[in-house]
Amino acid sequence: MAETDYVLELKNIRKTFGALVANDDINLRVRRGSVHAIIGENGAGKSTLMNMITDIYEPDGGEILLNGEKVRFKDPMDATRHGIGMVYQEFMVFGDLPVLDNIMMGFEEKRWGIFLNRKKARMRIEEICRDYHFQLPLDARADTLPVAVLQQVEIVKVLYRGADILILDEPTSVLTPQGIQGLFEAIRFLKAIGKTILIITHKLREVFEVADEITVLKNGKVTGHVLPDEVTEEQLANLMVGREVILQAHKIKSEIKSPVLELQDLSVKENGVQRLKNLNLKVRSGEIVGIAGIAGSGQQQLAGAVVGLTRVEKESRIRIGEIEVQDKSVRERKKMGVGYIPQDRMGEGVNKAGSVWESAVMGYQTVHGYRRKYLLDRKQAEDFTNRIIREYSVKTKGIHEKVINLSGGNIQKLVVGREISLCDKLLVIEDPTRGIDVGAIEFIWEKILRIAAAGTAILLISHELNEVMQLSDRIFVMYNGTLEYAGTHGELKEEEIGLLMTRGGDADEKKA
Amino acid sequence: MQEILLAVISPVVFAGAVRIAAPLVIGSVGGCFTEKSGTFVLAYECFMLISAFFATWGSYVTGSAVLGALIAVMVSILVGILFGILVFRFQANGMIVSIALIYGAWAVTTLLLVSIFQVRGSFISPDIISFQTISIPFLNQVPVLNDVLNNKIGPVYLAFLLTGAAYVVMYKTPFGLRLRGVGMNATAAQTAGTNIRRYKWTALIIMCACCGLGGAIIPLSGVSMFTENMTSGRGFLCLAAVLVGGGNPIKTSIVAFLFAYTDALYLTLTSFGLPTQLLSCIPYVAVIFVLIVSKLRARRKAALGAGRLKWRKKVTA
Repeated sequence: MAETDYVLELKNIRKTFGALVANDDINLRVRRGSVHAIIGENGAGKSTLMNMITDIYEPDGGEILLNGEKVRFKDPMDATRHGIGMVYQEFMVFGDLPVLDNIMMGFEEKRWGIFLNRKKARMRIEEICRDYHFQLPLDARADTLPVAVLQQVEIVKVLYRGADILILDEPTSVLTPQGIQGLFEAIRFLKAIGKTILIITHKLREVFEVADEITVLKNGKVTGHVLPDEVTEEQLANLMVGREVILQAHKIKSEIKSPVLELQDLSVKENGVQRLKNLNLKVRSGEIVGIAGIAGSGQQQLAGAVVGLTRVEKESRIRIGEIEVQDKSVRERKKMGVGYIPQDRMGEGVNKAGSVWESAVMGYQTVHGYRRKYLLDRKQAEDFTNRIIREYSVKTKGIHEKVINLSGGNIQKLVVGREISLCDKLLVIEDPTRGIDVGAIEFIWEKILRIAAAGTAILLISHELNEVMQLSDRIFVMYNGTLEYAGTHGELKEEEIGLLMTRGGDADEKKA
Repeated sequence: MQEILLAVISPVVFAGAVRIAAPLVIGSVGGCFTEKSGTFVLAYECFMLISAFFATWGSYVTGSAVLGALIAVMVSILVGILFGILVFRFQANGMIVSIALIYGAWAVTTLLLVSIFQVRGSFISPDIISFQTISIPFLNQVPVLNDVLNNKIGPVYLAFLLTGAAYVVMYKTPFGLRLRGVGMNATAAQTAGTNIRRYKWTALIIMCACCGLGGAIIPLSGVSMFTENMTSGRGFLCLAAVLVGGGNPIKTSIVAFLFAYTDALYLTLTSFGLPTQLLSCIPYVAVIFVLIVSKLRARRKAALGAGRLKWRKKVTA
């Protein structure tokens, strides 16, 4: 009887890659009809473990029991046939195809044995959508849809393939706050209907909100199996990283002086759409100004306008120090001491095909003396890279390693290290801690606070409300291209700011 | 002047276009499959030229155009397998392999011309049997269509059939859906249980078979000869048609037909005493024109759905 209580059991699973032990003697039992969270830092072995369940990897030792029976899948499709479905962190989407084709791909309904039967497939998918309360535009092309909807497409796809156990890999990393709530509702509903759900994540708050049971992985080992009522966030973080991590920034009192960045009537239009509307903002030396807001409210354009990537409207004025820079190029602004930590660190922050040292001096090869007339000064560049690696504890085999081999957190440390070391006046930061583990977040936060104390003006744009609230001296909320003042550090509560994010200011509320 | 304008829309030009279009349409319809499966092949010219030669040889030896074409298709598929081994198995760069194959085909056919037929330049013989023309009875009654469509060799009609069949396979069967999936997002297709390698190989074989048939038509459409570099860029026209048509068999065929039409126009207009140097530009100008127009349309589409990456690229470029 006890056997069937658990739909999936892993016994003594072990997996090594060369000398690296990715999974060491893992035991895991997943109760039928529960939401089971697997948490751990980046590189703790979560993905490896899931890949063994869905059989991308074969375990070196141990066994997997499904419904009490020992299974060994021949190929990934075998896992699907056994009712295990995976929603990958990177969605498996065919952008040019309509949602319907996306879902039925590989598991088509057929007519006369050879032709597609879209009608039957549509009926089946519509039935699933009805049963599980999803609303999907089946005829819309996938690449026209927002990520939250694409995620639903992925979930429906897995259900269409007949999954009983759904594995969601970092499902919230791409979603807005509302999207996350929508996802959690879907998860609760799926659970109510009897599906089993495994969530892989490193976001502790979400675990508390949705999980029934929690398994913590650290360095390839299980360090804890707990119920959410039994532990606090701090204890869980402790299990995850092995030390007391409190996601609380320790603000350093800094002297706020004259304005460094001044925006006056900043407007941006893209393809006829007004992205920013007459923004006015001052960021002073030694001050961190945080911009919260729902993704897509104009944050990208604001960052782009300040660093010089986005064209601004005629009447807009951007002053750095006393100088108007709205017509100056990115390089000229960099020369003035403007640093930029972009949101998309892989695409814009580093050259992922290049080496660590190349990315470490990227953008500054001509600005700050990494040159000897026309040739790069390799020695100087390498010394500088080594300094970043040391000071920001970037884990890498060496300065000649390819950036793509580094983990997300280490790449971010490299970018943050570069920009902080090389800019001294103004730093524009977009989502500095997106998708990286708790240890790295704490580290980066501390660095940001420290350079602010040293007198750099910081414009922090983040989708993590907590981050903005922890770090900023003054907080603004961006809503539909406008800024709303949301008080100084600690003045407003999270809920109050959250309300501003979703509804805009009072003026908008009245209009609505 | 009026005569020239009339010639542009005359049945003679269209009849010529239908004839010239057959190899282009068949070759490019095959190319749609590799295009959609995400394999980058430039070597249409190679497959067509090799098969033009072996069609000539096959027809000469067996005395049957159909057998000649079959032999050509076989040889084309063999060359395609070579391409597949190099590119799929040994991960060679498809573009470089293609260029090597294109020039290799020219050299090999020229060499074989000497070593098999003991001639240089071109081989002409009444023993090279061409495809027979097919007369469709009910078309006799229809005035213009009779001139344009009737009494053509079999492969001309096959080109129309193949286009339709390819469209159905591509958009109405699980095979086509998965094939397009493989080209769009190979990892995603894999998680949907698709064997990527098998689909890529199948697409390549289909393409080689079609290019083989297209190439075979060129010497076997009444001229009864093979000349050095006989395809003279038809393979590249196929490639252009596939790229402009985006791998959609119907669009691709229409573009291929357009190229054939300009070619036929050139042949007709030379009889009006216009400077041939200028006229011979027409097909190439047409290619460039079509490419520009299709590019502009694609840009307008992209502008409508401009995302973050796009604006970043534009500014930093």
